[in-house]
Amino acid sequence: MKDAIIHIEDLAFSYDEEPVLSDIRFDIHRGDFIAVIGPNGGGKTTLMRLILGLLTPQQGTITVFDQKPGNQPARIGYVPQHTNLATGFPATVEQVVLMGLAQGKRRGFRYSDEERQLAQTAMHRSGVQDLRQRRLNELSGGQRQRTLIARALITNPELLILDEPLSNIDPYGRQCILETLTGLKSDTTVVMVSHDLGITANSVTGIIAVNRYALSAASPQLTPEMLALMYGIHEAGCPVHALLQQLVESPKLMQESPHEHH
Amino acid sequence: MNITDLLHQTFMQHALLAALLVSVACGVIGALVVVNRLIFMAGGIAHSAYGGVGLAIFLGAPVLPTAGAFTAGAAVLLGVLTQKQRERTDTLIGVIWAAGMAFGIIMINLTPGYNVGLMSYLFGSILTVPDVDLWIMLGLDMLIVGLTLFYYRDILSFSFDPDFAQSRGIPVRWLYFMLLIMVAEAVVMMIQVVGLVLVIALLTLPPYLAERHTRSLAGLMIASAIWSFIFCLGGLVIAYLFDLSSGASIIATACAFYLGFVVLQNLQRRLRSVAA
Repeated sequence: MKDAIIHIEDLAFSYDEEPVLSDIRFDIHRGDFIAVIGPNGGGKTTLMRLILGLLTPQQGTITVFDQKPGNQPARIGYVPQHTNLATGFPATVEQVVLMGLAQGKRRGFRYSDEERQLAQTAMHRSGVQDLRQRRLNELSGGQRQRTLIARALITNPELLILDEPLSNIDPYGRQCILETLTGLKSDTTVVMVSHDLGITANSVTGIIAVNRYALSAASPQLTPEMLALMYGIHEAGCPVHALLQQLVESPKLMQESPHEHH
Repeated sequence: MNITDLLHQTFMQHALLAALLVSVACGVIGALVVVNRLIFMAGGIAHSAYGGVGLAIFLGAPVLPTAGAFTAGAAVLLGVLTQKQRERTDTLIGVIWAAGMAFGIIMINLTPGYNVGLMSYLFGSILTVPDVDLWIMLGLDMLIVGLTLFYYRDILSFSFDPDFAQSRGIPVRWLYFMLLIMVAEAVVMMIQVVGLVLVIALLTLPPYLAERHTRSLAGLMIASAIWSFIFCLGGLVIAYLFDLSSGASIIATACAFYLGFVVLQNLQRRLRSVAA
């Protein structure tokens, strides 16, 4: 059995009395590539923010590397939703990647050769080394996203958390990002939020479906229970039922019974 | 009086020094205000400074230090309130904005026999900056530049992406309050030069003009400071030549540059589309 690097038990979280997550429990193990899927507003981003220590749960426990979330920032790389960032910010790709080194301790105005080398390596891994002197507003959505991935990779994190990295990205850009992620060291754990069911099939080793509650499976296959959790039960004749039926009939995405069920 | 004679006048030397010192703070803080999208917040802090001016006049205390301390307090209060009720930020800024001004006016009303022109605090009076205020401005500049240099990496990461910065263990809450206090101190310095009503223009126009040609936050700060000094010098010359209010002349100069820049940009775009 591999190490559980994220352990969540009985987790609940509310915004202003409005429950967003309830009774969440699952483990994520070293080397897993997990897709966190679910509808918009289902609590995926909140769950990631709880794992990162950006929010505090009202109930339950989360441990990351056997410690409270937020205690070991250098071991975790985070790629937030790129659509929230200001593209006009005065910074080049290299400067953005170097921001990944900031940990509230390093001081100084200039970066050392060693730090620049780390940035160079991270840009190479993410495929943006040729763009290092470009400003953010001179990049496509996919290039910007890969820059943010390089920023997260600069500390060689053991756990990489990505929030909707493929949204608003063209198919070529998506392919590049997925290649970057699947090309990481085998012991790097990747947790990727996505609302796109299709992309989960080929790259991931497990799925967590989130819609206030969570169901996890240690395989890249959706279960009927997951679909019901995410999209509800729909009668025959309803367009959503037809869509879900297509997913049920897709051998790539579906299996008959769940591997693991919280 | 020719220009050489003018430069030998103490009031003009003080004005030039004040312009230089304010431009340094304005460049650093203006860049941070713009990239952190705190323009309305800076406006609220600037107007709340009037409460500090009124308090200083009421107590008979020196204006710059009293207003500096009062405005820092207002900025911290605003920071606490907006962190607790993020969705009410606009309303809270409006409250602090108006409450500060109302408090200042009441304090001045309560000051017996007070009849000094308040216009100098509303619209600036760079030609009447005393020695002691120049020393205070220098001290505030050193504080602002020193803190910015020391925390540059954290400020950069926080300004670009606060969530990521927090996930990296950067004390984003502390940085936010530090930034608000620095804005408060910069604003109080700028009141001497352009007045609290016009502070926002001098904070935002230099970074606007500078941002297209800079590739780093530090570059934006330096270029903004240079633009700010150019506007101050230009405004001073215009104010002297046409006997106008210096604060308004400085802002008019900045606005003229801004309009010129926009026209030039449109012309370039049209020429490019014609060539294509």
